Amino acid sequence: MSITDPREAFAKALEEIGDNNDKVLAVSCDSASGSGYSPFISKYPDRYVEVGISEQTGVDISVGLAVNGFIPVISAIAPFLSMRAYEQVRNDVGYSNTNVKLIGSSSGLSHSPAGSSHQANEDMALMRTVPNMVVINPGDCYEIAMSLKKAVEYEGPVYIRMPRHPLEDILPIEERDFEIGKAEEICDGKSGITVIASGTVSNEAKRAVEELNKEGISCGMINVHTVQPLDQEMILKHASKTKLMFTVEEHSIIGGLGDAVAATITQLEGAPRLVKLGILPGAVNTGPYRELLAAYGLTHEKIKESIKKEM
Amino acid sequence: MKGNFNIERAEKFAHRVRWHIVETVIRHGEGHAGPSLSCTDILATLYNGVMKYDPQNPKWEDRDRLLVSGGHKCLGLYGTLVEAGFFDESVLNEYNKLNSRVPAHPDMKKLPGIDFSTGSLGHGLPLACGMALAAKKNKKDYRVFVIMGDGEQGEGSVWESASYAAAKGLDNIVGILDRNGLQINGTNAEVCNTAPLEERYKAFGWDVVIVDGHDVGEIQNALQSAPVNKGKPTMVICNTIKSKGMPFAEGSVKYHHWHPGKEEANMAVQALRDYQKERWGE
Repeated sequence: MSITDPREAFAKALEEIGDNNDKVLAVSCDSASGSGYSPFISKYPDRYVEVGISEQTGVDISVGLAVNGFIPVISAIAPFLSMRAYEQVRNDVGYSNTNVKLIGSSSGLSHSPAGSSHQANEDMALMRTVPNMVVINPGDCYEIAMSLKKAVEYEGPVYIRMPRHPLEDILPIEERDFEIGKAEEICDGKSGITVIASGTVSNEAKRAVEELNKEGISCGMINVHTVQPLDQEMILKHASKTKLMFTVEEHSIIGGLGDAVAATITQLEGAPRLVKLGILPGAVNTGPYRELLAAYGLTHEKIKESIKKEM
Repeated sequence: MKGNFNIERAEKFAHRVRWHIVETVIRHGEGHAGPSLSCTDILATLYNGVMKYDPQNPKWEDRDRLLVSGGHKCLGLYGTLVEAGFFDESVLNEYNKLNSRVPAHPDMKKLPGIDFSTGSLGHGLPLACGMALAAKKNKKDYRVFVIMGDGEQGEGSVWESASYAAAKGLDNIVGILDRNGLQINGTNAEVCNTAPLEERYKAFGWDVVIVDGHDVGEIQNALQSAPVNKGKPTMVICNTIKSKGMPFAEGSVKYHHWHPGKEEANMAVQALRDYQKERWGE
């Protein structure tokens, strides 16, 4: 049975990666257990770097380690890592193209009751503007494990959004092949509608698409784990035979997947109309995770409603 | 390269760096003369018997590292790297031109000898912590020098990393505070007093040594003796004079970023010539 707890999947993957590469270090900003570092730390205590509640310093310490041959994996709650330490990320990780792996833990609405300070709905937008940065938004435990593995193999800056709530696999593992920058085609559609989804809400989108297909509305669907670089070939392939496109993401509709897709399809003459489903800028509501997802229109029922409304 | 320290050699080296700074700013029409001249004697000391480095092998793993955290002091760094043999002085002609290798803040990708790009204040000490930690993990005995200004001490990340360095016993970090008392908008005391720096660093768990930042012998003694205590980082506070070497500008806040008119340019050149003649009869 596949793991559904993201932290457990991350912890297991990090431990395995650590077994095979003694240059990998776990850097924590007082976030070790919350990040899923515990098994790695127990096994490799001398490869654990605890910085404390100092994200800016944590990022620069990681850079100092990276330029001396280490592969630091630094994890902190997503808004603190991506926003408080943004300038360190832009200058010292991005512009300087250093081999640092940034893990924005409890991303998106993971900390839904905790208020806007703890929600990270703009982290992909910020990270997409950082030069050289790969941005991965995993949506199930397979993608979590693979994104970490591929990020460590890849030479250069990577930001991974790490979800917190249980997740089902988007596809059976035997059908999958994870490459940075490659999207997955879930299905092809006949009704001129394509749904492009990323991360935690990919499964919601997939369920909406399945239900619509049963109702005779045949939608295509693409699952995007790497938001930057975006798999433009796959997006354009679908855009060229689509009249209406939807993007679905647990992120602001500004600067994330939706805008990345918009920028891509404008290359096409007669590009399809694009509807971005996500969090409206300035929305700072709180509440239980699934209820908040529904309030923002990101559960499968709401996604299905939105698609029907726009047809 | 880490030869024996010789006071006269270091002083002459510093004087040549001052020439590079002044000539480059005059040629270009503007530049951060004040803060570069402030730390020139520190840089000259570092590259004359304190730091291990090899201009033929700038990425040598065992070299000492230097972070000029206030990247605006880069004219001092560029002049120093020219004198230390990393690149030819003709590179300075590109100062601030299109696609220059010597922009107004140093870029490690553009020239050899720059251990990390700097520009935004408050990044040097945390970067130094990472490099120092890497040395401990790799069982290397290099030291990491980081030059900061006293105005820069207003950045919170300086104090985050000051805590970290002491808490983790990073005695291979040697902080150097170029304390000239001035920042862009006035004296450090007026703008947002960062003093008392000696007491603050001591309270954060550092050893602190205070020297005359224009006395290369004193600077050399302090840098060479670091760490004062095993297991503790050392901060060498260098009391300096902003724009040192241009008497009309020394200690004046106006010359942080100098736009030399013809008269001031002549005065600066004459001051360097006079000093040279007086000191060495050349």
